[in-house]
Amino acid sequence: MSSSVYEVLSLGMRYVFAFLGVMIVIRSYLWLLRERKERHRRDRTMPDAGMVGGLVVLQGSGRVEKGQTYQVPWEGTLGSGRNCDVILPAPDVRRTHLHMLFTPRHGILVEPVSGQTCVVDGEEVDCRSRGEDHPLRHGSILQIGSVVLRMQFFAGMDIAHKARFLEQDAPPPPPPQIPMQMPPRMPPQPLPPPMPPQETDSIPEGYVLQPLPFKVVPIYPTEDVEEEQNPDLVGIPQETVIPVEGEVTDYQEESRTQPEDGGVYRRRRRHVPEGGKEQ
Amino acid sequence: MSRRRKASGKGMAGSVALFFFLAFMLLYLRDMKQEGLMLAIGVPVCTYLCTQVLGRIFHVDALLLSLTNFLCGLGILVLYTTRPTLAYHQVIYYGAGMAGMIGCIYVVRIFTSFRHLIWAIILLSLGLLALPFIGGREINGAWNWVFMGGVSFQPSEFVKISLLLVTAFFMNRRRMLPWLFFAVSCLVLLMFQRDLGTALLYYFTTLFLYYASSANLFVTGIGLAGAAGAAVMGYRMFAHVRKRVAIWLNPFADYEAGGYQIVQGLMALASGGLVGVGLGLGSPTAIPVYETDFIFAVICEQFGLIFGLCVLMIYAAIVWRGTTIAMAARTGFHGLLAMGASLMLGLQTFVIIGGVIKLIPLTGVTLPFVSSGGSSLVSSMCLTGLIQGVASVNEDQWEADEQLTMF
Repeated sequence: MSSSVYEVLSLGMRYVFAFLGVMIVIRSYLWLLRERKERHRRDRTMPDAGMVGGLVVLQGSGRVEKGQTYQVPWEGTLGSGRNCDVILPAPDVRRTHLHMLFTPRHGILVEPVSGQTCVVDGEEVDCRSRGEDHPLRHGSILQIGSVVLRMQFFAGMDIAHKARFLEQDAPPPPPPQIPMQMPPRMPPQPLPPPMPPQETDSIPEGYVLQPLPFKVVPIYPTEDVEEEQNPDLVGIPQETVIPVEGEVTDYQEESRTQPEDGGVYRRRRRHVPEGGKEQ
Repeated sequence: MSRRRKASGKGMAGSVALFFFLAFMLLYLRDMKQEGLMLAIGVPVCTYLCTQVLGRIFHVDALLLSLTNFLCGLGILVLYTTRPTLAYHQVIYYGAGMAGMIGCIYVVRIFTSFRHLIWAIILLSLGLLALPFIGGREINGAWNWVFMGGVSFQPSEFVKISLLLVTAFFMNRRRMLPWLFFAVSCLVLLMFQRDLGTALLYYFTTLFLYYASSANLFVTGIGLAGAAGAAVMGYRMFAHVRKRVAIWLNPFADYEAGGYQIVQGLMALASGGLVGVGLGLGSPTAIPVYETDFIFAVICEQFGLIFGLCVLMIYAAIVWRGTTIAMAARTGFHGLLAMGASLMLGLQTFVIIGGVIKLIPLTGVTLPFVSSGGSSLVSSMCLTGLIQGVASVNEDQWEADEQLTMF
């Protein structure tokens, strides 16, 4: 092709290229915004996503009150500081007290920061002990200072140690009703193991509380408030219901707190109407 | 409804494929060479299929994949207009980069912990970085190339990946000394190689990643102050740094010698105007090292300022996407890894484009994905591979969560 014809063609095509470039950019930013909306919708549908379970307070101290449940993430820190993932505002919990890491094989590996200790199932753990030797399992007791907590995993967490619960003779729970279709990519998982019914609000018999390594000076006013516990809601996090702003009004929580389930701790799922945010 | 609606991205991939088909067909009409026709069919098909197929195999992020593919194809296109041999090499490097990206996705997905590997990675990386002192040669004033057995590569490009792995691993465990040791040794080695641009990149990536992991403004401020102090000291001590700054302040004063490159780049930008001089026209080869450092000026000359701005927006979208993926990660290690990779890509783009448009003094780093060169392309694609791996892990965990909520 002669160079003058090519020049004309090329000069004409530059508008097409500029247009296509702008189109690609607009498409990519629209995509980004759309996925952002989708993600927010997903976050609202599953408020417990990314959490593995909860720590139920058996004995409180400071502003940590008996019966409260603290959600435990997959990986994070526990302490009284604002930057921790699990915040226990008690006087004898340090600002950053320990790191936690969930592994499906063992449970939660606890690693106190240097100089701090905690007690897992009656055994003292410090920063030099191997986390695999003292993991937090379902029903484990974690004692930090004078705060005593019980670990509760969500039903269905795939943990190898669940065989432990099968040995105990607990009545098998009713098979869970699966309301929706399973995702196609995952193979069907076995049903959650039967878990023993739990009395959430007492320290188990025979458990000896460890003496504190230091003297506790309460800095928060502690009041003993007698709270009535609804037996149906034991183990369900009361404080952690995430409020949904105005746009979603008619959501409903599926009833997953059947009384016959005993102490099984279930994730919540909210029904958000399809396209609720997009309007 | 249990699986969310996934954007297939067909429209996006279609636009990208159409762009490359038109551009390469135009160049084929100019040259009437068979290779041009092959590229005109191969590049659009490759970008389209890559986006559609790879998204089905893993749960990779289709948007990130299409954008990186677009930038890689743009590099091949611009190189083909100026020096076709480089473009053919770039196609081969693109294939290698794809393999590296898939490898990085697998590494992120398979290794749950780098605990037993991390010290081996540190030793290997330091050894790689020290290689140019043995098998190296000076190119453009820096000793950062290795020539071994007919293969030449730039180790500092590959050490980027291990820098991210090491810093993310130790920052997640709140152990400061190991990553500080590794970062400082890398910096010292790079300083001895006089590879200032890469050293700058490593320093700021580590610093910002430290801020992302700890939110410690005080130490980050000390780091920034240290960087400023080092810049002043470097200005006082090294003659070539003073020269660089003088060229940056007024390139026209030393037009014939030092400022020639920047002035030619600025002229290319200016002659391009809003929509460019036309593909295959103009004189982009007048700029020294147009194929690596100044490729952005070539793009702006041929496609115009509007398109140049679009390229910048695409880089911003990549960084945005990487940051989003980092925020959605479940473990700190994955979050820091994706954050560091996006930070590194963003910083590198800023350093070189800022240098080309005379916003900051010019330092020689490559434009990720676009610049000619195997090391640069493969390492940039490996960095996106890390982000993609974290994205696919996120997606798997979301699916597991959806299933757990059913119980």
